[in-house]
Amino acid sequence: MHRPTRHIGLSRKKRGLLDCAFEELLSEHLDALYQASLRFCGGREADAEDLLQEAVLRAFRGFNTLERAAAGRSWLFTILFRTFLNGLRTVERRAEVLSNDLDESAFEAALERWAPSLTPEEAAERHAFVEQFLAVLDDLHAGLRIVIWLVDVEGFAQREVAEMLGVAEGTVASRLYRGRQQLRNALMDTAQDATWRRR
Amino acid sequence: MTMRCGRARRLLWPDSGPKPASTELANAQAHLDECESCRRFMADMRAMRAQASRLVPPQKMPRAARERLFTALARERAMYEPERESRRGFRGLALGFAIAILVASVFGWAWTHENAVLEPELPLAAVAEDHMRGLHQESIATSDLDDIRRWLAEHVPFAVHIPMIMGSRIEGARICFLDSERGVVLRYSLNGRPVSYYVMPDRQPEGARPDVAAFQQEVQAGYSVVAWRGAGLAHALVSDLPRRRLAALARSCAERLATTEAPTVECRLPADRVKAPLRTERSPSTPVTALPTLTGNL
Repeated sequence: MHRPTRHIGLSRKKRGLLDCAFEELLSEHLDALYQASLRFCGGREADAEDLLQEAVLRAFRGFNTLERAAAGRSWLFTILFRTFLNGLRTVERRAEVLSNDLDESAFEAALERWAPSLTPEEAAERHAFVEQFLAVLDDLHAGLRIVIWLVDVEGFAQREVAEMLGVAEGTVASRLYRGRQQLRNALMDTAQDATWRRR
Repeated sequence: MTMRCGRARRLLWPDSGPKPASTELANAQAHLDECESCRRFMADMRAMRAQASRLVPPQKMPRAARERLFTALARERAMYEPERESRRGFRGLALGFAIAILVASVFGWAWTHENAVLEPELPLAAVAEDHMRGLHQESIATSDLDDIRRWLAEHVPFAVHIPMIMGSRIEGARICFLDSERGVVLRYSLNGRPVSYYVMPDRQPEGARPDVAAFQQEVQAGYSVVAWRGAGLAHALVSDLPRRRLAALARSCAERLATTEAPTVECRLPADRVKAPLRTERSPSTPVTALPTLTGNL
């Protein structure tokens, strides 16, 4: 059985302090980690709980690798993402999340095609967005969903997310754009459906 | 030449902070100043980001899931406590029960045993478990065996044999959390003295279980603990009865258990409550040797 290297040479009191520091860090970010787990797993609660538990245990074992307390949040999310990636069963699913799929010219062409934002009619249906947002988000491909969650919801900088995911910043930008585009289109479809049903 | 919108947007978005100054960047900024569509694009990107964080309500981790997580963490932490060879296996189990009683004594029970010794440090995992126990307060107070059997079937994922301890009356049952495991305590009263019968999942690997009933004993804070394994579970009797008498009761319970052909309580827990803990590697424990047969009557 592997014992964490952080325990070697430490007195029992110091191990206790280390454990307290870990639990304090974990407690501060646990709810956010749980939500992220849910989204990584497409809303499946049992999978999310298993993912989070495994990630927390890995973080506990490797707590000595955290060099700065201020980096604790991104460190925890990085471990969560890496644990999620390890859990993906197929090469294809990993590629969906990991591939550096940025084609600059195609990206620029896609940016050029961005349509204007909501019409007033669609804006009136905005209340439906709250209910549908998570459902639509969970339908996105994992690679897009994870970037949307980490950047737009958790507020990580794109550079940070690029480091977490081990991809180029441009890849994060590309996925962020495509994810937002798909998200908005799906939400607009939902709004239009709701408008049509009311007529 | 006027910069294309796509190129300008690529240079200016995402807006991830100051960028190194360049002619191309300056041209992109100039394009933005003149292009309503690109300004609309940048505004839409900012709005979508704000919308995402607004549309996602804060969600707390469900309490049950949180407790399971911290239980697993406590178990992981316990794995890394320094263990001497003599504390493995049964001795660890008996001491776990005894330490839980010791902690309860410190936190509210009358301290009467003059030779009792406080642990130099509080067993934090046991404290957390006692807290969880208090939160759940899952118990039943009845002498009706059928009611107890039904209650057990709804609360623990393993079959429990309810022994009849001679001269005693069963008073109920409750859930316990010990060493990060969920178990059950059957409460008896023997001549006015409480006797607790603990039944816990057996964490020993299949091949390490002894063939003969073997007993381990411990005394903490005036309470005797006698533990043994049987029917795939770990058992323990705890009471302030004299140690030899408690040991005789334990032997009687173990013998009756050995003659029970089938589980008497069928698990009826919903599948989503029967959640196997994450497996962690454990080194083989020291084989338990049988103690000499105890003498003395009940």
